[in-house]
Amino acid sequence: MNTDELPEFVFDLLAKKDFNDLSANEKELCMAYMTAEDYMNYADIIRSVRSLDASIPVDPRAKIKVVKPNRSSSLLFRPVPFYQCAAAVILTCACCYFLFSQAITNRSTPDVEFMKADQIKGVPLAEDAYPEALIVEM
Amino acid sequence: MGREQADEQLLIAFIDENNEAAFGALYTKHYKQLVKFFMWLSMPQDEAQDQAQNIFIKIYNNPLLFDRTLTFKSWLYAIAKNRHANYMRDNKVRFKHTSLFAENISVVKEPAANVDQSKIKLIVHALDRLSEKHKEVFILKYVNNLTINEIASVCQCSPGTVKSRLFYSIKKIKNIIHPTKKNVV
Repeated sequence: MNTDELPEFVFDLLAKKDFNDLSANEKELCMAYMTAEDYMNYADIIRSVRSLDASIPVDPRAKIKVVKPNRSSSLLFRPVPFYQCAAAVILTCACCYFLFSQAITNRSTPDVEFMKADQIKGVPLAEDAYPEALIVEM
Repeated sequence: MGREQADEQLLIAFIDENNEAAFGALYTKHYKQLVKFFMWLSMPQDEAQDQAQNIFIKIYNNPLLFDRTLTFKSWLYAIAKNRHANYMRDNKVRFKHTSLFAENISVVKEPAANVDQSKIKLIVHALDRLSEKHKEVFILKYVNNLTINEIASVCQCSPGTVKSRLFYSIKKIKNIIHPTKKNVV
C-alpha cells in the first residue's frame, strides 16, 4: 500500500469516529487501507493521546504586556548606537574646520583684479616726470 | 477553513487597524496549544511557556513578517518548530527525550478518568521511540489539529510525505502497544 496516497479524511476519521460509528461507505473506504482491528487500535491511540493532552495543565500566565512603540515619538527617542554618535561628531568637526579654513583663506588673500590685454592702457608720462636715466643724449 | 480565515483576519485586523483585541484573541486561542506542542516535543514546561510567550511577543512586534501565502497556524508552528530545533541544539538534549518527556507528563495532576494509566505510559514510551520528524507530524496532526497541507508547510515537505510519516507513526505506536507475533520476531 502506498501511504503517500492515503486520503486525508481517513486520518480525520481515525480521530473523530469509532469503527462502529462509521457509515457503510466510510467503512468501505477505510477498509481499503487497514483492517477493522487496526482501525480500532489506531483510533484508540489517538483518543488516548488527546485525553492525555487535555489533562496536561498549562498555566495561562499573565497576558503579554508590551507597549507598541509610537512611531512619531520613536524617531526622537529611539536609541542611537555609539558609533553613529562618534561619526556625527567627527563629521561636524570636519565640516567646521573646512568652513573656517575657507573663510580665513579668503580674508588673508588681497583682492587682485585681472585685466585683459585690450584693457591695459598706456600711462602718459609728463616730460618733467620722465626718468632722467632714460634720457639719452644723441 | 473558516477557522484559518478567522485567524488570518484577526492578524490582519491587528496589522492594519492596530486592533489589540484581535491580537489578544489570537493569543488566547493558540497560547496553550503552543505550550503543549513544545511539551510533547520534550521541552520542560517552564521553557515551553517562555518559548510560546517569546513567539507571541515576536509576532506582536513584527506582525508584518506574516507570510500571507500560509495560514496563521502554519506560520505559527513553523516558527515554533524552528525555535524547538534551536533549543535542542543549544541545550544538547537531543538524547534525553525520554526523561524530559516523562517529566512533562509527571505534571499531569488529574489524569483523564477515561484513560488507562498503564496505556498512557505505553503511549509515552512509544512516542519517545519515534524519530523527531515522525513525532512532530503526529503531534501536529492529532494534538494541534493541523491539516495535512499545513503540516507540509511547517515541515517543508510534500503532503504525501506527511501522510506517509503520519501513517508510519500511528502504526509504530500501535506495534509497540500491541505487539503482534510478527512484530516481536
